Amino acid sequence: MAQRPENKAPPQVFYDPKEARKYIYHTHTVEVQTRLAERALELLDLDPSTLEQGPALILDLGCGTGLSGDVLSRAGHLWVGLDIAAAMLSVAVERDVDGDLIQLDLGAGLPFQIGCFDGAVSISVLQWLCHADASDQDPRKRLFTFFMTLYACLRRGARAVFQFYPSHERQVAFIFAQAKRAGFDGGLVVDYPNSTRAKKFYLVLQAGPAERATTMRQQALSPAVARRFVEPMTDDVSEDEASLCETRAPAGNTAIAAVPKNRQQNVSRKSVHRRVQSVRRLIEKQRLRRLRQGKPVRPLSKYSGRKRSSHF
Amino acid sequence: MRLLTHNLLICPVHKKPLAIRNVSAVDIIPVEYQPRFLLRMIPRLDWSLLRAAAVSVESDCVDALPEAAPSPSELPALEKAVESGDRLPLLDALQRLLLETHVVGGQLHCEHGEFYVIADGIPNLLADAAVNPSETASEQAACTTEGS
Ligand SMILES: C[S@@+](CC[C@H](N)C(=O)[O-])C[C@H]1O[C@@H](n2cnc3c(N)ncnc32)[C@H](O)[C@@H]1O
Ligand SMILES: [Zn+2]
Repeated sequence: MAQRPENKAPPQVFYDPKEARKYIYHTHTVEVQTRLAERALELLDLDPSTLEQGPALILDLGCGTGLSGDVLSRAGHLWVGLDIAAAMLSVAVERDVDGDLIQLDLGAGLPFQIGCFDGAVSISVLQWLCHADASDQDPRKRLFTFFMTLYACLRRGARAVFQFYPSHERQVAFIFAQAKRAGFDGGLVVDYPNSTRAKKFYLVLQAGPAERATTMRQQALSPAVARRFVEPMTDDVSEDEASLCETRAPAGNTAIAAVPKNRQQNVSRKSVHRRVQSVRRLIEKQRLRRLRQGKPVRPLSKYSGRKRSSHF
Repeated sequence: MRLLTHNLLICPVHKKPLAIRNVSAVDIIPVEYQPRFLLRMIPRLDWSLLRAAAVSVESDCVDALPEAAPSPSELPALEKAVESGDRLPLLDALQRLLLETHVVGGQLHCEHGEFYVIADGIPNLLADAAVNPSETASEQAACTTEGS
């Protein structure tokens, strides 16, 4: 079996310019990441009363080159992407992503005001936080700091959805324990539980009870998913609990049936098209003004007049 | 980085707002008008930080920002105006500042002295990327003393 990337090198080393290229040129990688992000957005189950008031403000934790962020943009949302790897972020800038980007280490905590984000997604990242990259790094402490600061900057009742690749069952329990300690409630959703290759894990966390409309939202969840939300989180991180992600996934087609149904319902809501505007002229104007004022300006670059979705 | 994101950001070490300084490049990128989103954001904003940011990037919108944020009691009236399709100068200013104004190059200063660099629109908030002028200054001072 191939060695897991997080065992090879720290993320800022592993995700070098060459690795970052894969996230634009490997069609398969792009497709997979996009599909995972679409599913995460669906599980985020954004508050309908929020959506009535325009876009949601969403965190993309470990945004990389912005493939997951593109899914958020296409759905009309505004996002802030956080990543540790400079090479990945450079590619995101090159790709003209719509979201804002910040370079930071998630394990050091999130530096945001309280209650400002409507939700968070994270695609193929969480397993990295279970690793110590230096002798003074304690994954338990880093995960706890991460979850605690994430909880703080989410609106009450908002969700965070993590698609990730647990290395073994105990790791899932380990992550749960830290999330719960930080105040989150939630559970694990397993898509395609019976397929070794297609099987995907989503940790779905909720930051406290919603301020309003709680009952409505919970009823709206398909029963299979709703049931699984409350089940897995327990204080006890025993071996038994650790294996729940495998054993509690329904043996038959229940989980699989429930999940794609949910998916279909949501497709139309997301199919908002991007309209591209030309904005170079305005930027040129701003540049000229700065030049007139004797201020330093950047030459018009690929960054200027980046095309963006009509939303953001 | 949009001024909206800047407004929500705090120093990773001291948890204090960060002041935008030494701005070398700003981009203005128009996007679709989002009055309801902006109204929803008002209660989450640090208003004085927004005003200071608008000054730092030398925005045309500085004068359109009132001294204080609209109070919760004023919001329903604003919402009503938006519903009836009125174009409000306050929301125009917030649209321009929060959603369309990007700091592309500059620095984020913490009141405790250290700062973080914004390059290519991306603030680097990694722990080892914080620049501590007092430390560098005292290190330099130490070197000069040793040298003499
Ligand atoms: C497999 S890539 C996924 C990128 C993106 N979410 C996507 O779906 O295309 C994992 C990303 O997690 C980031 N990452 C890993 N550990 C991190 C940490 N401690 N802090 C911030 N980002 C991290 C890596 O730099 C990398 O960009
Ligand atoms: Zn500080």
